[in-house]
Amino acid sequence: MELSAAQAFLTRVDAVSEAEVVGMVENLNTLISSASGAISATWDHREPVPWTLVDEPDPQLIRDYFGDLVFKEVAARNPVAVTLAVEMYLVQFVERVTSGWGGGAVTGTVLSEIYGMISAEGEVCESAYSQY
Amino acid sequence: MINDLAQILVITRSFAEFSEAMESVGNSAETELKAIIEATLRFDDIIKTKIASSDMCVYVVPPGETFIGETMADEFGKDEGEERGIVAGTMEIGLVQRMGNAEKVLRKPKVILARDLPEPDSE
Repeated sequence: MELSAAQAFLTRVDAVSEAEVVGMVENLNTLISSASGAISATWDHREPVPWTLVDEPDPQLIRDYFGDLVFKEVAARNPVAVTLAVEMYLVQFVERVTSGWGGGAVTGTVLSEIYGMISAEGEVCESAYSQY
Repeated sequence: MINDLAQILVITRSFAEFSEAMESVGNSAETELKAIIEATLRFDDIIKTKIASSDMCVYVVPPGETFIGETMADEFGKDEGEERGIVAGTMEIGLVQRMGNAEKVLRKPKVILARDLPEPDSE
């Protein structure tokens, strides 16, 4: 991706680097995997409970999160699918929390304009200075 | 969060009682879940207030999408060549950077494909 002068300027303004953000995502994935492992350990040694004993859950909630594809497997207590469902839920938690208002583009646009004005003023000053 | 996870465990017949599932999730993973919440809020703050040059956002592939090797990683690394699978779910978060009209995947989300889910138990 080629950076414009304004974007290159904004990159210098960033308080954190791209690598640091990627590192944060890696850390989140590690935490999700760890939580999923801890939760799975609570049930994987247990025999499945007969359907008749199960409380009324909210299948729609599960369908909303996982779609019919995984729901079918989850409902069959496929161990891989259950672990996957827990991980998918946690992954989607992070997505839901962070998918709100994104400030980067808005802030970036404003700062790009400011940069443009500063550059333009600089040129004006330079041209004015060069007259003397 | 604990409520939702407990529902998953109930619907998978791992627990008979919802309250039992709630207690189990809380006891087994309270520390981990707190850490996820804290890390998520920190990450959210960073991408929204500390980066001006681009939009950074989490990349999660919804179930049912077609697998694309250029932007997704297959959990089992089997989807190579021409074969295209259907994504069952995202197991690891990816990261996308948007700068103007350009978009770059900084980290591919790790997905599991539908065909790699084991057959459901016939019991």
